[in-house]
Amino acid sequence: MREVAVIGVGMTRFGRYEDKSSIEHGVEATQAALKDAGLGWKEVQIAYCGAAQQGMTPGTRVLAGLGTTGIPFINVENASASGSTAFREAYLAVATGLYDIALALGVGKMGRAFALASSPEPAEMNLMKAMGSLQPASFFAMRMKRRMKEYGTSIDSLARVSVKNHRHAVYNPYAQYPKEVTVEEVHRSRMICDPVTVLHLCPTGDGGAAAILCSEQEAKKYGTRPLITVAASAFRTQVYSSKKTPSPDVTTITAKEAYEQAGCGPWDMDLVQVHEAATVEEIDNYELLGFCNPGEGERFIDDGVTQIGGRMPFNTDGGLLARGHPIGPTGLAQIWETVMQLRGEAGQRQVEGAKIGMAHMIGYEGVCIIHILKKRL
Amino acid sequence: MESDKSAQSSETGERKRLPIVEGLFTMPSSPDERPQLIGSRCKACSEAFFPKRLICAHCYGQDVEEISLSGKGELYTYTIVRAPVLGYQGPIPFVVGQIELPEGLTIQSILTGCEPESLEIGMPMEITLGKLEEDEAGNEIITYMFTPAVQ
Repeated sequence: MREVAVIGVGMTRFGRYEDKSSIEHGVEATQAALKDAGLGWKEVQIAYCGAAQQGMTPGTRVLAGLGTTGIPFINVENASASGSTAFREAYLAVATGLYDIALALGVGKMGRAFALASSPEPAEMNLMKAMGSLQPASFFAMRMKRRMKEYGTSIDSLARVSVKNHRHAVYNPYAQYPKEVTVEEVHRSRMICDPVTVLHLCPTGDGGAAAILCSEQEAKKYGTRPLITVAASAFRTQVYSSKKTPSPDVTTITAKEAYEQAGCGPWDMDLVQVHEAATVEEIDNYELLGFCNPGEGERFIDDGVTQIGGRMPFNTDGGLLARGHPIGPTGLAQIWETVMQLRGEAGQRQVEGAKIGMAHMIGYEGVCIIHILKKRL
Repeated sequence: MESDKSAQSSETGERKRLPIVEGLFTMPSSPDERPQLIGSRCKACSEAFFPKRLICAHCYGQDVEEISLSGKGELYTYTIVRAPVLGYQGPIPFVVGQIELPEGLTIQSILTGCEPESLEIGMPMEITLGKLEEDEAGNEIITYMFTPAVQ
């Protein structure tokens, strides 16, 4: 396998757009990534597009908008991890030596509410209804309630995740909600599923994000900026787990593989982006990624460890909660943020001296993808 | 699966009680008889599942048998759903929870017959049936639910 560099990133501002399609977001994000890389569209040899519920072949429709150069454009779907999947496939295309320059793209446009079920099949919908799976937020609410009982995690600590990530988003020009909120405001916002209020949850929205990957050798031709390389690309799905036959969480299994590939451990990171569709997930992920033991994650948020300026900043761009989560592009927005940070171009969000960063996404039904990016010194 | 004897014949034009999914739970005709969840057990490794599976998720064995689950368990967690959701016509708010069954599995269920404020993690729960919603013809769509166990 060859060393692979990320030479360009670009994204559109996440948010709700009346008159802009996911395809237009894709074209704009790709053009931004190409400009950032100093490349022309005709130099891209293969492309992957991550999207969920955007109609048939969204990537190929973006291709039509950019110019029909005839390259293979592969559409991938892994729910929230669709963009991360596109990035991993583009990485593999270059790492294996089959292609020199690849595009990873993610696009998404959502309605105001999540669809009831992941499947349009009536039989699957009815099964979800039968079990009371009628509101996606209920899953996080039940997890939160259990965590509060098991570890004594307080609702204030959980709210502080939202406060922290909204504060980070203030300095991200591409964030959907660049606005500070207080613990009180989180508590007082609309109740969705006790104790989950709307500010404990990520919003729905639209957007696009893209990255250009190329072989390290090829990358040296472009620009004089610090070279950002892919130190790990790990992808696992959940192993069956029950009370009788327990298995580690998929995040723990995937992280172990990523740390092995990169030859490092959690505390070697300078910053981390994680999937936090709800506040409780970020605290769970401090533990599942190996930064602390189960039940200790609350301290990280209470003591400011995971805010910018803390010992291990998490979700420096605002995370799913405040940067936004249009599904398809989210994993690539994490790559965008990690690359900006490692280059030292993150402005007021900058984590001082950042050299290595991790991006973690979860897709529906136990998909986990982790990438570790490194600044080549 | 036992047919639902409480369902009225369609010729009478009366409303029927219909299970939302066939083969997921029983609908006994007698009120004294407890409904049962229909699961499966792997004959090779004896792992139990709900809903039933054709292939064991633990050892991947394909020799599985249908079983009735005990219908009693402990409340693992719960929440009160207050926001409306797409494609659901039933009452809001409602309570949903997870129940740990003695067979070693945790299942999700709507909770009924209780004030949400009275619920506590760890409390004993038992199965019942309840109306989820009504279809266009006015038939009652029935699903299994859990309720605090009578001590």
